[in-house]
Amino acid sequence: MDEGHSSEPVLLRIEHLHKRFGTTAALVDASLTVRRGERVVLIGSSGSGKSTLLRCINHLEVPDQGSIWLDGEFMGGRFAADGRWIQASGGELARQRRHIGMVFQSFNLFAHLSALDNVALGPQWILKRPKALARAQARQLLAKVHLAGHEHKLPAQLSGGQQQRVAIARALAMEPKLMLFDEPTSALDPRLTREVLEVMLELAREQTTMLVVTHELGFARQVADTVGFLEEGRIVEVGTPEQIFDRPQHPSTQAFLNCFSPGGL
Amino acid sequence: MGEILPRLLRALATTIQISVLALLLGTVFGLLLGIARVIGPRLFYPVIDGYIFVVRSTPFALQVYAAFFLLPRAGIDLPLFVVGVLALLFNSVGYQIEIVRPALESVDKEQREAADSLGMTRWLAMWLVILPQAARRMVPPLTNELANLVKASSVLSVIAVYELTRAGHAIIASSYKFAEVLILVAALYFVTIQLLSWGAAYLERRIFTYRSGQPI
Amino acid sequence: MEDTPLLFAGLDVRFMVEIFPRMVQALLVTVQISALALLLGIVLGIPLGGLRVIGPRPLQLLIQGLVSYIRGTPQILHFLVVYFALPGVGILLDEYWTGVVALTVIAVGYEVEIVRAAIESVHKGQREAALAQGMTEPMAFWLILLPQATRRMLPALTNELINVIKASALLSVIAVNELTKVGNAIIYNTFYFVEVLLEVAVLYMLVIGALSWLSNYLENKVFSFGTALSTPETR
Repeated sequence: MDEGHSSEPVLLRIEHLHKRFGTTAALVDASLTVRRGERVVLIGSSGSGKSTLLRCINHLEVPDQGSIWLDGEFMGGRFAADGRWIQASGGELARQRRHIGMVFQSFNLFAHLSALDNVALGPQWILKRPKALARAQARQLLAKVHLAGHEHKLPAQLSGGQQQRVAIARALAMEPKLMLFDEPTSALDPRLTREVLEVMLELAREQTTMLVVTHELGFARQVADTVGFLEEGRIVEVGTPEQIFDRPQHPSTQAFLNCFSPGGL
Repeated sequence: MGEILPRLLRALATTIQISVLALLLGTVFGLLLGIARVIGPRLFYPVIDGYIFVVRSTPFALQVYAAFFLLPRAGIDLPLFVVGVLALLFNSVGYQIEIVRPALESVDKEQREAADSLGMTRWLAMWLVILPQAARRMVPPLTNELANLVKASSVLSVIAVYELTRAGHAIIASSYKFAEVLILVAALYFVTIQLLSWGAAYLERRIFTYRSGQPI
Repeated sequence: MEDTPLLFAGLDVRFMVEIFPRMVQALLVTVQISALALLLGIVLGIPLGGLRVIGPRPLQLLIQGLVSYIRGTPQILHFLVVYFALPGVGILLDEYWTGVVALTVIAVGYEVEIVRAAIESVHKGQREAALAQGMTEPMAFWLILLPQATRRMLPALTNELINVIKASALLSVIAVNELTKVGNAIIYNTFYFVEVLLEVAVLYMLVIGALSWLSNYLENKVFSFGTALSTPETR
């Protein structure tokens, strides 16, 4: 698409992140930077730690070790003057999370609220916008994800693709600095997947900073500035789409991509 | 029998009044304590658990006597009706916390995560996301709780609250028509409690339909 | 001794120690009368529960109606019915046995359901195998179903004992010298409200707390080889 973002300031910096669940290591020494306006796509087989990495960024999972900066601010706590680590309170963590939009694999729309209310809820209650304004903006966002006319439907009345687009609008409504997509199309059939990917493509065109975990390699190649490949909790290779898809260096990346080669499908 | 029934019906009205009052007041405290037990400071947990243990491990009759003896001793002189409601309230809250808590915990973890990811504090998430979804799951057990309260309120007769059991007792004492009175009293309780249990079962089915994905 | 109260947190501890033997005695009456009612409840509950499952249809409905009646009306009403009805039909019992009968009525209402649920939890094939061998229904019930159901009943019966102990406090109204009654009597004589109520409550909590621990323990053991039965908690 357009030129790289190497001159843009770093928005997200992840350094030496470790996370274990019981005896399994979900993340091992993961480091990654995302610049403002950059679109980063993480690929890798299931259980490779991609989702865990995403969930660690907004502290839905608390990392065991390592650090995450968003726009120069430490996530999940801070160091006092004497070097002591001070865990963020629930309120501070909530404030930090407002800058990170998250789209889940299973949509996770608020089941008791209409599409419009799902989108307007955050701005109204968290950003303290007047209700009328929050709802007007929510309408615009729903139109933007091609859901005008569906405002008053409940999640159960929408298709999976529609639900996921509402979820994207809900995250955008908070005007986040960074959008995280955690396998947003894995629960959808190909037709619905297309609806969702189209919306994501439009966001990419608008220079939204995005970090996407997906199995849609075509989307990754088309949209990403940077692609990272994960295996067993490690980020084994990072590069441009051309580097990763056309000339992968690491044997694991080659093996993974071979499964998706035209002959393989 | 003709003059007994109206008296018993008036007493039944008192029984229902006491039970409904205890249920509604109990729901206020049950919600507050149930929410505190789920997302409140950990310091509260043993206190709330201790309260539940005391309520469930002592006979309700003892709780009634305790209210009857201790409130006046603490200088609080209240009409017996109010003492009865308070005793029933003390008891019911212990059970209602255990209605509220599982309902809150039954809301999918993903809903909490979505609220977290938007940057809601846990109290805001509780108020906007968890509680509205849990509330409808509390309705059937709370209806059932009302049936239990109607049953339990009969114990208030031991401190001379003039509800259905007490009224029956008084009529027997003055008329010796114990068979007629007991049959009527039993029938009135049975019908009231049965209606409430059916209501609870009906609501349970309704909620179940909602949860299976049908639009409300 | 009575002149020098030993105070702790405003409570007269010496008095509490003094009445302790009487309290324990009363607690024993409570436990005894409750255990007796539970046992009589089992003696009646097993045949009634069995008939509820394999008996003729009208009998099943009758038992179901009885259970609904007992569970759907206040416990204190059963005391009144027994208290007035037994003499009415010429059966004269003292307070203690009147209490036992009333508590048994309460216990049976729940134990029939415990027995029924336990028997229904035994695999259907067990009964069919017994009948195929040429056993009669009562034989299959007695020799095959009941022995297998028994262990599953234990946690539920422990819970029911808790319910009966709690219900036994209502006997205070017909002058049985159980724990609540004795506590009240001491209060009326001495006006030591707080001390007595506290002591009574703690004794109940000790016994009931221990029983609910036991019930949980049994349930975990039972759970390892079958489904545990749930019993409603009464007050």
